[in-house]
Amino acid sequence: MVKRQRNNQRLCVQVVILTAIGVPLDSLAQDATIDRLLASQCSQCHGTNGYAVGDIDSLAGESAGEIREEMLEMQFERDPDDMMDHQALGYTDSQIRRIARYYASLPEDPGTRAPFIDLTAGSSRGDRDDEDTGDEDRDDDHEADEKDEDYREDYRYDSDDEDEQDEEDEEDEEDEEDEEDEEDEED
Amino acid sequence: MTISRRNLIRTTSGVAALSLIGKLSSQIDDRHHVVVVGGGFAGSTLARYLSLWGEQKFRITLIDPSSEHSSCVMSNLVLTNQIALSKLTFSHTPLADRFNFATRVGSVSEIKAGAKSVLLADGSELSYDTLVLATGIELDAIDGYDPARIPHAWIAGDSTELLRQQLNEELPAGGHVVMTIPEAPYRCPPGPYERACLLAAMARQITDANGGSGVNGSPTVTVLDANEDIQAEKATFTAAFEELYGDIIDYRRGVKITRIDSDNRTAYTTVGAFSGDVLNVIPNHQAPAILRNAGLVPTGDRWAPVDPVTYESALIGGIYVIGDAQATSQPKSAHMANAQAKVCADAIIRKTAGLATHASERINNLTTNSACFSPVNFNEAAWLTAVFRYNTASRLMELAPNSLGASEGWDRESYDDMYTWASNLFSDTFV
Ligand SMILES: Cc1cc2nc3c(=O)[nH]c(=O)nc-3n(C[C@H](O)[C@H](O)[C@H](O)COP(=O)(O)OP(=O)(O)OC[C@H]3O[C@@H](n4cnc5c(N)ncnc54)[C@H](O)[C@@H]3O)c2cc1C
Repeated sequence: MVKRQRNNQRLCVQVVILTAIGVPLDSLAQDATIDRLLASQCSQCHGTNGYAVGDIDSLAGESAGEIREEMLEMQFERDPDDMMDHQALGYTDSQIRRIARYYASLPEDPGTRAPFIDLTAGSSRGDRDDEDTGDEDRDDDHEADEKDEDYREDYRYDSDDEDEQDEEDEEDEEDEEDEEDEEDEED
Repeated sequence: MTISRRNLIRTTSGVAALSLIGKLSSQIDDRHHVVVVGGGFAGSTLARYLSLWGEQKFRITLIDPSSEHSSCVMSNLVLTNQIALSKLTFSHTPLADRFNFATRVGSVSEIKAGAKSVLLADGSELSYDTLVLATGIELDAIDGYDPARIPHAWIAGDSTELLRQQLNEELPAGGHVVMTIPEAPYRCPPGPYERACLLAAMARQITDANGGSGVNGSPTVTVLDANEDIQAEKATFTAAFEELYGDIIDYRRGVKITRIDSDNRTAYTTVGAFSGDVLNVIPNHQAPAILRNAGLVPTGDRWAPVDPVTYESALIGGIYVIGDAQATSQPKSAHMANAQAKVCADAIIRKTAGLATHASERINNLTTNSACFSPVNFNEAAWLTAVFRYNTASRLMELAPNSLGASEGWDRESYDDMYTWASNLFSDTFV
């Protein structure tokens, strides 16, 4: 119960933050919503506003130069074998600059993160016959043949497991947020 | 003019004020009302981003027959017992609370474009200023086909569970599975071939668990494709069918279904009858009846044409169609439904604010993209990706040159990436 209340409070905070990052139309330069729309096409993989879940780069708060440089590198990849090598080829340099500008304008850490679904943690993953995956930090789990009774709703955002996880994360993030704020003021 | 409740209480007295407040509280929200029909990938993303970007200028109502949505994405792994359907099922309530919109459990039965309202199956009516249709697909009826007994598992939910159950409980060692692939365009171009691989993997696993081939010999999966060829990742699936499942998969092209015998799990086709211990029929798709009946789909067509700059219907103004139900040639995928919803949300915000949706700066920078991961066995996957750009001359979303890419074969790394991708896509849509 207490946990649920805390959770609700946290959600309110998150809404405020998400809305803030929603970047109002008239508070930016004329064409900022076009940057925003272009950049939003990255979020299916890199998370809403570039705050990613799991083992993929978050884009929020990266420097514009860095994002552009990486995209150009991918565009010039001789033997494109990564999904992003192909994705990068879909954008003009001016579009890449706009996407980069948008993500660079966001704080690297929003303080509290939006709640998220993480299928990469826990026991839902596939067979683990071949342990040589080179992905050490995610190899400690997972049996394939769970049956119904073992199926728990532990990947749903409102599950207790995740609440606990979130609360731990939140404490860490609060600390980081304070540091962030100080840095921001110096800017 | 806006009347705040406090002013009202100041200027009116006693009982009269109270009863007035009662009346007003249902009317007081006079913001532009956007009604979203369908809370799947397209509809949930639309409501989420309209709220995120809309500066609280919109009243949003999301209507869906269920208070939660089960994702088709990753649902082939429900069949292999690797993911529980409950883990792919997302309640609309926390999303609506978080993004401050209303939900309504109900099924829209009619669109009254003239009156700007929708009728629900329970007889109630809801008016809108802007209507967004994100209904996904309807599966064609086939003579004799009873979806309660013959699963399609192509709209995630009970049908997915039924196919899982039949595979696990009714497929014997050395058993025989028959599956059918619909005519393109259908949702998730690589999906049926991925399905074929996983059915073969299951059939082999069941047979092996029973000490090799059963009394029937080795298992078989007969794949009856209505199309003349593999529709996506041809090199990958050709190789997978041969190298991984050469002894199991029997792939046949250009086979049309004429009738289904749901009692005997038999598909009658243009090239003969096929019976299986398990029969998985995926019928052809089209935009649901409510769109067709409203005149949003030209006679003889199956999908609703839209202007991809806004996703507004090409036939009826003020109605937007996103996701699988619309007719652009972009792939029918969840990733793409999410992408289109963002373009549509941005367009609705502009239009309501009196800003041009077709400003050259905007149309020159309109992009969407798609990504699909396909597991080919219990621990390896392949992938496909593409970026689409608006072509101002053709007025179509077209494949950006060189952006179409597919994995070379399949591997474990892509299988792991698939979970990361799905987690982010789900989070950007349903959370
Ligand atoms: C097995 C499988 C695997 C897939 N894998 C991938 C993948 O890897 N990547 C990918 O990008 N895509 C994948 N897809 C495709 C993806 O699931 C669809 O393209 C996507 O769901 C389309 O989104 P949508 O919003 O248009 O429709 P849906 O997500 O189906 O949502 C439609 C919603 O509208 C509701 N609705 C319908 N009619 C009404 C009505 N009259 N009134 C109110 N509500 C209504 C429905 O209940 C539903 O909730 C896969 C599909 C399948 C079947």
